[in-house]
Amino acid sequence: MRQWTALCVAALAAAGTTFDARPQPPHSQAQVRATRLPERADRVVDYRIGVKLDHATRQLHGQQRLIWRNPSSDTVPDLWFHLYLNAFKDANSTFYKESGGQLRGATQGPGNWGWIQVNSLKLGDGTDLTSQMRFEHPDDDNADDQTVMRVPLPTPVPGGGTVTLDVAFTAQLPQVFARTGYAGDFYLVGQWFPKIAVYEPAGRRGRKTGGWNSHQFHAHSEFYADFGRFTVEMTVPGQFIVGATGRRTAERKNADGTATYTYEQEDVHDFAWTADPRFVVVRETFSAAREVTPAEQERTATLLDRPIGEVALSDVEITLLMQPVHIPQAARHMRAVKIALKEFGLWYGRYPYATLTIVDPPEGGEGAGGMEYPTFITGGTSRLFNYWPLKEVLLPEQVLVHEFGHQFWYGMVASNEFEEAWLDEGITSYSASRVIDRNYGADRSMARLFGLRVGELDIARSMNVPSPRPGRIRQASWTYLDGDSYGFYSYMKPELVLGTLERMLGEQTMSRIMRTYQERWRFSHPSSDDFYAVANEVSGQDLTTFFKQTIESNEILDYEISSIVAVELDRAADTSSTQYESSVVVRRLGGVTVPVEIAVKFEDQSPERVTWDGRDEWKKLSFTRQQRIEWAQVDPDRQLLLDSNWLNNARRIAPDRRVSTKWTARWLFWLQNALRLAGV
Amino acid sequence: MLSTSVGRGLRAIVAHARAAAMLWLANLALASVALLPVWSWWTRTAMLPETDPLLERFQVGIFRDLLIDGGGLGVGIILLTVIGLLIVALPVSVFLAGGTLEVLVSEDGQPFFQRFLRGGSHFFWRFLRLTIVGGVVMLITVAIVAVAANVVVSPLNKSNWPPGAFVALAIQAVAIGLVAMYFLLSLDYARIQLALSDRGGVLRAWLAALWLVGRHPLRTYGLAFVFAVLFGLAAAGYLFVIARIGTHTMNLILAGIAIQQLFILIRACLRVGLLAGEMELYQWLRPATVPGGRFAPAVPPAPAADDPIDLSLAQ
Repeated sequence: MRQWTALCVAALAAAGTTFDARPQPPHSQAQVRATRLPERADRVVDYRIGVKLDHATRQLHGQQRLIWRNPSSDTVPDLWFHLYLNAFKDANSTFYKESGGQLRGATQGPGNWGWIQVNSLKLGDGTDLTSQMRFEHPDDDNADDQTVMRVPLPTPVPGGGTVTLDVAFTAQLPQVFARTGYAGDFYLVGQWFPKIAVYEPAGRRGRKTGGWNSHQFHAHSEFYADFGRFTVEMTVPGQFIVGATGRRTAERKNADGTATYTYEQEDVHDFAWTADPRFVVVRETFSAAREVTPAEQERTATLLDRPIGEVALSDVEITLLMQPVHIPQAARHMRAVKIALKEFGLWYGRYPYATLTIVDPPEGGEGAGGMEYPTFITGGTSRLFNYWPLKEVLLPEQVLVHEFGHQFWYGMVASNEFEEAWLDEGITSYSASRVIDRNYGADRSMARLFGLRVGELDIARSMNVPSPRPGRIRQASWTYLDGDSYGFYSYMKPELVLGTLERMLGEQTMSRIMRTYQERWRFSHPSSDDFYAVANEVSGQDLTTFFKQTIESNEILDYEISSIVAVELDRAADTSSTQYESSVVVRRLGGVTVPVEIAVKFEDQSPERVTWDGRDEWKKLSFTRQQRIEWAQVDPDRQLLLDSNWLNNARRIAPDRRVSTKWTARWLFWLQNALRLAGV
Repeated sequence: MLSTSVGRGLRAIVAHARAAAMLWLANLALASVALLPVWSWWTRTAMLPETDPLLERFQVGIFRDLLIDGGGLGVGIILLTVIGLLIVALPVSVFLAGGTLEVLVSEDGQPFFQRFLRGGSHFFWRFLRLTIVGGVVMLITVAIVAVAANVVVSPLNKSNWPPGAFVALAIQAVAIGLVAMYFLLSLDYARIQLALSDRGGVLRAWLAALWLVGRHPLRTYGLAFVFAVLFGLAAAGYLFVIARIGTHTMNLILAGIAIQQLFILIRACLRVGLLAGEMELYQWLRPATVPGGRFAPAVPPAPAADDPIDLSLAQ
């Protein structure tokens, strides 16, 4: 659960038809090709919020007008809201009980509570519903949890109808913890306002009947919301520099020394903002004409089988809000973001907003780092990365590209992060690793230090151990055993699954799958089944078994060459040449079955390849040749990133002691030097 | 004075090559205790072509696979062996220091090994006590200096000046390094005093050495710096050669091993040279009240700056 924020504004190119958020019927290949990226979302919510930051008390005082449109044909009798900040209200919240007050290496110190209180809630006509508010706890029996609120309506909202609500609220920010709060003068204000839940019509994400989808705030979960328009006025002390989701449309200095900034954005489902008097503002424009060559555009159009006009990108105003101490890293931040804008845009369709804001949290505010919000992301760096040698550690780039990737997988393709976290985290991890590997080098995409190179794949594979972990990829995020399981099944394993799929199907097919998935579900809310359907349709293959085994179970994938033998046969009377009976046994050690190639090398011959469907528990290959077998290797092209152990993929018949001699000698040499330091 | 000491040290490397060889052999013998567990861990790779990329360079992914594929226990055994060796290294280093100094000091016509073993055993307990006392005080002092330096540089750490943290880190490292060096040099000079005089208590020798290094920091640190530069040159040369030699054939790997051992031998030579140079410097700097002992005249006349002391005459 990396967090990343991004709030920048973007003006959507206008026009157009309203995108239908409901599941689409299966498309034929021809229809797939005809698909266009939707230009705008089906706007369900319209928030107008005025909020004032009280720097002394760290409180927000807000007034919110919300117009909610019933996106279904159902009659809706009540409204459900998220009050996320109440996760930090006391030790009785579900969040606190699950996390123990510790998350992502940060601790919620004693007394460091945060909360949100709805002071009044009225209908647009003035009807006061404040006394009707009730806390709900749909995920557990924790009656003390106050992160979900329900309000019955005096008059139900008919299908397609709207309701207007005026809400007054006060929010206490905690010291930065779990994405939000303050650290000194730094504020990262996320999940801060009463946010209406998602009403899912029948048919969406496999629902049989329409209803609210509203979960409590859990330790290992993020968010889910409907698209709409946000207009937010933030009043802060005059010396503060402010950044937020969307584009700044107005600002004014007030007589009391405060300043008010107005931000607006359409077709987003959340709004976050930041304020810090120390921010150094670095602005640049991502110029599509300058950053993308015609050749790249043409190559992408061919790869995706799209008209060249469909892979055109648009300009974006990038705002970096850097901490002064991290200024030496401004250029690398900007480069990473531009690379991400280009690569994600080419593969998955242009980034449709006009702005992107990147927030650099200060030291002490790391809990706000690595989080995504629409058009607004937070990075994660340290002053240690300013200079050599640690500037060769690409953690800041990894964080930025990942968080930016969420603009596509979470921001626009807005899956339910509570219930299917892999659809945003896993697909983002896979996409980001493609970007990072291509632009920074696959073998050094994480770090290059004193000759030691670490790639992103090394990190992803490091958690993919041969013994299955409890859990699976498609699982509600709060039901994982622990944070490690959540991280593995939401980030690492999906990245390996999708990487494996890419290598099995080929880059072209996989690129078209991902593009089609983005086109079909941009500004909407797909489920895993919707992703499977697109993959089956575009690839022209039934990948159901693959998805069931890898995404919906905790089976592992591991093939090994378990034995390799060559026996000299008695010479036949009619021939003077020696014959060898060579045999190779390949075993399937895991429950995932995929077709595999087996390469077999005989003396003085080029390697031969044999294909096996990989379904049985083992397969024996036998050969009678004049040449003795030298080695055998399963998956010689390294397609199966998900294979939990590559070491057993190959075996040779005669030992080769070069590696063991070299590394034994090297370890001894290091030990000798250590002993020399100790005086020996 | 400094150049004379350096010259004396460099000449001693040639004159006492057997002492350097002895240090190298002892180092190799001790390290070889870990040979079996290390070899048995790596020998699995002989049948596994997937590990062949390790001939090019270290790869985290392959190492991770080796660990997961039943290699965790082996690494644990290797680590325990190494820790055990580093513990054993303390008394062994004390013995080697006694033997080396005895070889440098004595010219009694006895065979080399006899003198080396005699010195190692003769000074063992005194050098051991000296090392323990000096080591403990050094650790405590270094810890105090580290904390104090941290407090001093904290404004730099908290500043908005981008290189602030690096400068702070460098200041801390230099402070800690200078203090640790002070104690390590004092340990050397205390051992030299004991070896030369063979009289006096350990504590007195150590305190005298602390005083000596404290009074003459430029000379004592300077001599060590010269040998550190020589070590740096040797290390750079090693890295230059080893990076170009390749490891694709067994012959190249064996050549690489030879170069590694040559580097360790050079380190041993530099250690002998430093000790000889420090001994020379000590003769120049020691207070008149320190007895010359069995190998030195009571109080030699103050030599001219370019007049090196001939230790063989000092007997």
